[in-house]
Amino acid sequence: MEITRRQLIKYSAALAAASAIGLELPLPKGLEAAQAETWFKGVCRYCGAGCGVYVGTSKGKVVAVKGDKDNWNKGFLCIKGYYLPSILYADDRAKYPLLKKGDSFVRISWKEAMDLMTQKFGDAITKSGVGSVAFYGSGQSYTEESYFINKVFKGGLGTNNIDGNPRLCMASAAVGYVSTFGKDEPMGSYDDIYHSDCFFIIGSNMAEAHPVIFRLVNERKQKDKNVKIIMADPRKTLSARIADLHMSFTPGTDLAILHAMAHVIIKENLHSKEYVNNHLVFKTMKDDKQTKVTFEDYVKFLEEFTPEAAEKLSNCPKEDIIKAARWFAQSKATMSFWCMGLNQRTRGVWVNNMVHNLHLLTGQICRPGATSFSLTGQPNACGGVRDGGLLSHLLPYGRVVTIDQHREEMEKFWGLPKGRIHPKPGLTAVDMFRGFNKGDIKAMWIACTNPGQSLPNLEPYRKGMAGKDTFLVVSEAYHPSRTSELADLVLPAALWVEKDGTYGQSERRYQYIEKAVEPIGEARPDLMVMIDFANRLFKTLGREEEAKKLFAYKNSEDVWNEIRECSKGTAYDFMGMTRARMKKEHGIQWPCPTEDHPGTVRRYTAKYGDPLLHKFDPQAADVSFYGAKADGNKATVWLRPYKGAAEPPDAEYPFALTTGRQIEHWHTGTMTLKVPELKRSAPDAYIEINPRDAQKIGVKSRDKVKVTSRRGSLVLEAKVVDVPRDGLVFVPMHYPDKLINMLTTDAYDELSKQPEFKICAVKLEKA
Amino acid sequence: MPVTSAIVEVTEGSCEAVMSSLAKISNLSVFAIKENQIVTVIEGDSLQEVEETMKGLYALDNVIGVFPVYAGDYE
Repeated sequence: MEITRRQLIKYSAALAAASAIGLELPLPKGLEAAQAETWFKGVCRYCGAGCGVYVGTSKGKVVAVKGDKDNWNKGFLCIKGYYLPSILYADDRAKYPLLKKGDSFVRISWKEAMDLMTQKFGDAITKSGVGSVAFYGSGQSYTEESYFINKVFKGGLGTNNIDGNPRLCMASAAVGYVSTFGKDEPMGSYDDIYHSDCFFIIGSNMAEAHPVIFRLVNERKQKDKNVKIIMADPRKTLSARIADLHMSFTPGTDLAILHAMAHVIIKENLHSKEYVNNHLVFKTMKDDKQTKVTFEDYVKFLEEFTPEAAEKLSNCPKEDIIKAARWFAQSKATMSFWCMGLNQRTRGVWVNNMVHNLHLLTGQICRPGATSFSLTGQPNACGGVRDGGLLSHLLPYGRVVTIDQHREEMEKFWGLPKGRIHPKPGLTAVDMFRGFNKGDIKAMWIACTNPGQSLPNLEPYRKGMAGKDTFLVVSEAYHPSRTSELADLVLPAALWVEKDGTYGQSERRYQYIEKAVEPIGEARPDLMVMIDFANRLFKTLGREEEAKKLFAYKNSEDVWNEIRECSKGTAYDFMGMTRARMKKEHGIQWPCPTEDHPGTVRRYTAKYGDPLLHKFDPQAADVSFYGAKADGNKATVWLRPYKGAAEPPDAEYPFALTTGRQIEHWHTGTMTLKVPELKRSAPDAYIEINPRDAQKIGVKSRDKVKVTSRRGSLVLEAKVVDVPRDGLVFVPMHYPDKLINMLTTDAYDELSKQPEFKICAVKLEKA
Repeated sequence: MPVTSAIVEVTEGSCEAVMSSLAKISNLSVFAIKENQIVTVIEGDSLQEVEETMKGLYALDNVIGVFPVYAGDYE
């Protein structure tokens, strides 16, 4: 029987979908890739899940994307990944360098752009010193780009004024891991999902923000009826649909809940004596100094955090707290996930520590299925920024600027004179923009990110970025963005598969992204612009010969090879991750010390394959937290006091505002809002209010609501839905014409410097 | 005319109930089922129609994820 084209297309579509879940349909084959001529291996451009993709091209254009079945995501992509080709061909792609003249931009040549940029940065350094220039980077830049520009600023110029948007998203998780385990990054992997019997998900709407990881969790639950899922979130999100226990609580009070869970665990003798005796130290802060205490001190500290007391503070029923504590401790293997709900808080580090406390206390760690796993927001926040050391206090691969030995190691490695790297951390994100406002920073370069939309308490920082007495360069793939519109100079950036490079995602998996097509217009890869800039700037500063030694790279592979050498001997160790392997394999998890090493699924355990464990702790029988050498390779259980949000609701501003993601969109929408299908599906911002609160203020769905914080107001359409708990409203953060960050607070965590996007006080009125 | 396939993931034990809901969607065909995953194909006169159908799937009780896999077009 002859089949119609319509049937063929339907069969083809069904085949592809069935194949993604391991089913074979008896249907015509060979149609799936018909529209693409060549396929290139890569990684999704969006979140930190790091889904492997194949990118299909035809006639020099990207025409299709499909999931990589041989990668961890098993061929699955979320709706955003599926529509990736459209981001490359949006009408507002930046194609040429643009210079602001008056209120508009004029096209200039790359030579003119680079000459001007070099002159402005050179003038600032000559007149006001190296502390007058700054770079603000991104967890979306390739690893090679972040490593290189870090070398230019910290090593070449000797300023630590280099930070990036991971300060807004992952800094609390990073400081949480370091303060607990001595080194950053999760010890486990997505593979743990297959072995876990209890998932504790807190401060994360995985179903929308990390859908492909969430589907693994769901798959695990479907396969084993005994698997328990605990969801702790003040919103009953899509993720809560599979929860066995949804713990709702007043925003900002989760510290009390986590301490109460520890209280129950110890009171009911569910803690691991093996861990308490052999693998843990207990610490508190006294007079601003870390002070060791005993397990007994910790037990005493927890006495006040009874489930009853926690219920009083949090409005989470004590029965839920007790049940969660028992499930957490008694399951064969418990895995925690969290994301911005914990990180974007003034107590972000503390609450990260508290999740780790539960794992350490119960021994739910360092074996299959038992692990403490921070989800990541951006595709290379881990790889490029946390590992690569792009933040203002870091140096590459676990080193920090405040430790003499670390600076000396990097000075030696980079061939710098002793003392070149400054021993004090530079300005962190919010303070960097405050410095720009004040004129302390004269010239700033922002690359691959959109702080004109994503910073909290936006108004003063937007005014600063638009200032006439400073010089702002923005490297962007799109123009205008809410940041590039404020720039003095816009440099058009090659996007995603228009260049090659490396991403490192949440489970320490590094993946190579092949270049598939030429950049649009005159756009250039940021790495090439950075190399060009560094050489020109050093010539201007009379340091041309030094530049020749420091910046002698032709391409990203040259930089990658230096990165591997830089990681050698550290707890990261990428030496086995050659470019040839990266091209062939579907990601490799560090540490990977040799070319024949398969990569490391679980760290800090010899039994489950950490290749570096006995190098750093030769005496260890199995588990060793070798990043914490100063504590005898033991992890720290922290006694953190209870403290709520910086700006809780009050009589004048009676609601808590939280911001977050929708499944269709990502970050500031510069990419996803250019995808017609995604924009049609989710075209505009709204404010989510529960029916009880909506009734109180007299609004129904689609009514206009004016939402006002101490910093600004916005009128939004109401979405009345029983998702947020009483007294909480939610607004998505994606929309450039509805800048919700005009309302959010820039109060930040004292330890991580990460702002509290997740909670501020607002009032509502029908508009 | 656009065609899109998607895996619809549902909560444990709810496949039958969700299938009943899907059967009422005229431009959606079910091709296969594996445990809690339903292989669907959605057709429409316009992309908008396909998108609206896909978006509507999230609103169905017991649906916890919709994962598009493939898109095509026929005249």
